[in-house]
Amino acid sequence: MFNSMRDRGDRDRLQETLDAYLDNALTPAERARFEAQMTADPRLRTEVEQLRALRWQMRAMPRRRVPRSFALDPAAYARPKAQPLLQLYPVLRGATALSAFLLIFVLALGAFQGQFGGAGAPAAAAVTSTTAQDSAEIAAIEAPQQPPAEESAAMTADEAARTASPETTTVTEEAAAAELAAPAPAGTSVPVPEGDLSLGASPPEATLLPNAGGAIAEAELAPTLAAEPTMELFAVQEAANAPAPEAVAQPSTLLLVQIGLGVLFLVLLALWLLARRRARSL
Amino acid sequence: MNEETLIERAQKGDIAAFNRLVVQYQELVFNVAYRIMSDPAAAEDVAQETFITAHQSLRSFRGGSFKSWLIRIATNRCYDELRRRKRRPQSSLDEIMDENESFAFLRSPQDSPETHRQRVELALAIESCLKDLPDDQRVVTVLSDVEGYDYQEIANITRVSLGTVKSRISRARAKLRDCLQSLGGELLPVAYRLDSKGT
Repeated sequence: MFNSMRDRGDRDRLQETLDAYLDNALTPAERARFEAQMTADPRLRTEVEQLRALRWQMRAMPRRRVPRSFALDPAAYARPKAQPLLQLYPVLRGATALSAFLLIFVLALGAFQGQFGGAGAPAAAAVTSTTAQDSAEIAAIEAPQQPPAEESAAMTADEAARTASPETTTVTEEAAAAELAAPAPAGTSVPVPEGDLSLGASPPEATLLPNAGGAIAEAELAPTLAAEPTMELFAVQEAANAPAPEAVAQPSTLLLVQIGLGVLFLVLLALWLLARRRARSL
Repeated sequence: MNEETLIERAQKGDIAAFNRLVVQYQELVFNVAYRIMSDPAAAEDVAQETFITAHQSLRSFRGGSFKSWLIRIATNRCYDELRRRKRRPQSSLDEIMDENESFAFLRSPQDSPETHRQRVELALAIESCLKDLPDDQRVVTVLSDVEGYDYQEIANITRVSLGTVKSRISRARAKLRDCLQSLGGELLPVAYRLDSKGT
């Protein structure tokens, strides 16, 4: 198979050299080499003669007379029409590239802030989930979603803590979880709407949700930190309460910028492609 | 008045100057279009569109060969038309035209009836074989073998690489040769066989 492919490649190359010879497109050295080859190969010589005759016949084909004049009517074409799209072609090209860059930048910014729930989430989780209170915090956030808020949240926290470290879990942890769950009524966690959580640009507690398992597992690694629950609980509660209003406003601004840039990019891209098509048809 | 002056004046809106350029190149443009399209009516449309496009885009012409620029517009219009035809196939009027009427333009005053018949036969054979080539190969063959452009000019006109031009020409010629041989048994009618030794 490879031999036949190589043969075909050789034949194609020979054919191209033959045509280049007929069209005077060979260098003097190539020409001399080909003529030597032709002298040694009568079949090649015949082929050259056939193609030479064909080429001559094609060149000698009579030209058709034009059926009519193609001159333009002075009344209709007195001045060449302005072609703004053609003249703006380089500007459109630059603007499209710039808008694409900006769009990528704001999308990356959104992703970094955890807007899409993927890239940003682990980073946020890594920052905030190094303590054993994470499992309790998750339980606190999940709590309002389940019917009897206080009880089930406390149970969830207990279960989470047990699952995470059945042997090392201390009474302090359980107490911390219960303490956190207890004062976490609908008023604390409910105001953060699910939509915001799913957008993911809200503060750490929102990003913790999908990583509950990871956070629980990490609770195993730092059981000793749970020995100082009071200060950290305070911090967690503050974190849960404080940034909620900002979290609602931030993604909407970014989202608007992203949508605006996306639309701008699409419009510029369409105009640029149109201008490019016209430029290429010339 | 030379070509540069005519172009300059046409760019400033002098339609008379532009029409002088049209008269100078209309036969070339029409014949290139005709060889590529194999249809006089389509070639007429393409030629007219070519000059209209050239006039509208004259300000974007930045020097170089005006002839090549025009041929580039014409080949692009041909490609557009061929693509359109592939989407909406239509029967060519040329196909139902009487052969003698279609090739009346080949008659020359000094031709005997036999010579004229041979010329018509040859032209028909070449046109038929050209029509069977793939579009890309037909375009480069028309530019190279009918119009006499060199490889570099064809590469500029069709905006493909020199290597692509070479391989397209090579394949097209091989196909044309085989096609002509299959049509007539011999490559060319006797009166035209191997008449020229020049390259």
